[in-house]
Amino acid sequence: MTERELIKNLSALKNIEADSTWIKSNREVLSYQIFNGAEYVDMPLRFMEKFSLITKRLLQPTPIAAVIALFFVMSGVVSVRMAKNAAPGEPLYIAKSISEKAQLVATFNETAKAKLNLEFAGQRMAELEKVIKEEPAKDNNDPRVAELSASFKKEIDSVRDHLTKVEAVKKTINPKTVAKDSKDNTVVSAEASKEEKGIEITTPDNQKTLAEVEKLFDDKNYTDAAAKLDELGKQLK
Amino acid sequence: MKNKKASIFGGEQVLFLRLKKHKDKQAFIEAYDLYIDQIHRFVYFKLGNKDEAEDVTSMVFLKCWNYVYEGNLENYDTLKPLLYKIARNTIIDHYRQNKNQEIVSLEAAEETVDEKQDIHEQTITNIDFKELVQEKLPLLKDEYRDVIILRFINELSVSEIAKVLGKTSGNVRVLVHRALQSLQEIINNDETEKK
Repeated sequence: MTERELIKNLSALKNIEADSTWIKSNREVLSYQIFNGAEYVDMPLRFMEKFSLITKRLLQPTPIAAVIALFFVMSGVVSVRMAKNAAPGEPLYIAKSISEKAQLVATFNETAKAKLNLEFAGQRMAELEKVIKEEPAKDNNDPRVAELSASFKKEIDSVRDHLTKVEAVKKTINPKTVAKDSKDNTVVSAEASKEEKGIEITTPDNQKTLAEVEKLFDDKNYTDAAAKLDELGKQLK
Repeated sequence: MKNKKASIFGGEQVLFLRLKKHKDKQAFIEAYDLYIDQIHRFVYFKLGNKDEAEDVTSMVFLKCWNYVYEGNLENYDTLKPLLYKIARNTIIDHYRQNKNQEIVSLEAAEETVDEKQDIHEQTITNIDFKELVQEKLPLLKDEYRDVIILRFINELSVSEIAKVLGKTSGNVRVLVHRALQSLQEIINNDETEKK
C-alpha cells in the first residue's frame, strides 16, 4: 500500500459516525446534567458555603458571649423601659417595683436616696391620678387607689427618714463645724463627705414641706402636691 | 455535513465566545452536536470498543462543561482542542482503571487476552480497511496513533493538532510523517506475511 492509498483509506474513515440513538440519548443526559445538574450543584453549594460561614462565625466563643450579653442587656433595657410606663395591676408593674427597689439598694448616699423616694412618691401620685381618671366612679372602691395611696405615704416616710439620718450624721461628725445660717436654716458640715458638701439640708422646712405634701395628697389636690414635691426635690441639690 | 452544522450554529468561534463570555448552556449543547461525531471517532479508534468509546465520550463532554463552567477557557479560541485534550486524558484514565481491574484476577486477565487474540485473528481474516486500521493502530506508539487519527481521520489542521498535543507545528509535521511511515510499514509487512 502506497502512502497516498493509505491516506485516502484513512480519510474514508471520517464517515464513521456514532450511533444516532446513542447521540440523541446522550444529548438528553448531558442537557439534564447541564441545565439541572449544574444548577443543582451551584445553588446548594452557595447556600451551604454561606451557611457554613455564618455557623462558623456564630459558633466562635466571643460572638456567642457577645450575643448572649447583648440579649440580656437589651431585654433588660426593653423591660425596664416598658415597665416604667406600667400602671398598677399590669404584669410589668411588679418589674417596675423591683427596679425601684434595685435603684434604692444601689444608692448609698442618704440624700440621693431621699431624692429617689421623692421621685417615686411623685410617680405613685401620677399613677393614682391616672387610675382615678380611668374609672372615677370606683374612686373609693378601687383597690389600686388604696394600694397607691399607701405606697405614696411609704415613700414620703422614707424621705423623712433619710433626711433625719443626714441631719443626725452631720451633728455627730463635728458639732463645732456645723454652722447655722439664719436666713434659710441651711446646715453645712465642713467634715461631711464630698458628696454631701454643698447639699442644702433644710431640716425643719423640709419636714414641714413633707407634711404639707401629705395634707394636699389627702385632700386629693394632687397638682399642688406634685408642685411641692418638685420644689423639695430642687432644694435637695 | 460539518460545514452545514457550523453554519447553522453561527461558526465555531461564535459558539466558543458564547461559552467563554456567558457560559451559555444552550451553546454547549450546540457544541455537542457539532463535535460529538469526531470526538467519538477519536475515542473509538483509540479504544477499539464501541461501548467503552460511548462511555468515555459522554465523560469527555461532561468534563468539558465543567471547564466551561469554571471559566478555564483563557488559553483557547475554539472548543475543539480542549475537547481533544480532555479526551486524551480521559482515555489515559480509562486505561489505568482497566489495568487495575485486570490485576484483580490473573485468570480473568488471561481469558481477556485470549478473547482479544481471537478477535485479532478474526479481524485479520477480514480485508476491511477499517478493521485493519483498528487492528494496526494499537501497534503504533501512542503519540503516532493520536496524530494519525487527528490528521487523517478527523482531518484536524497541523496547528490544531499542535494545540491538542502541546507541541509546535514543526514537531507535529515531523510526528505526522513518522507516524504515517510507521503505519504503512506495519500494514505492508502484514500483507507480505500473508503472501
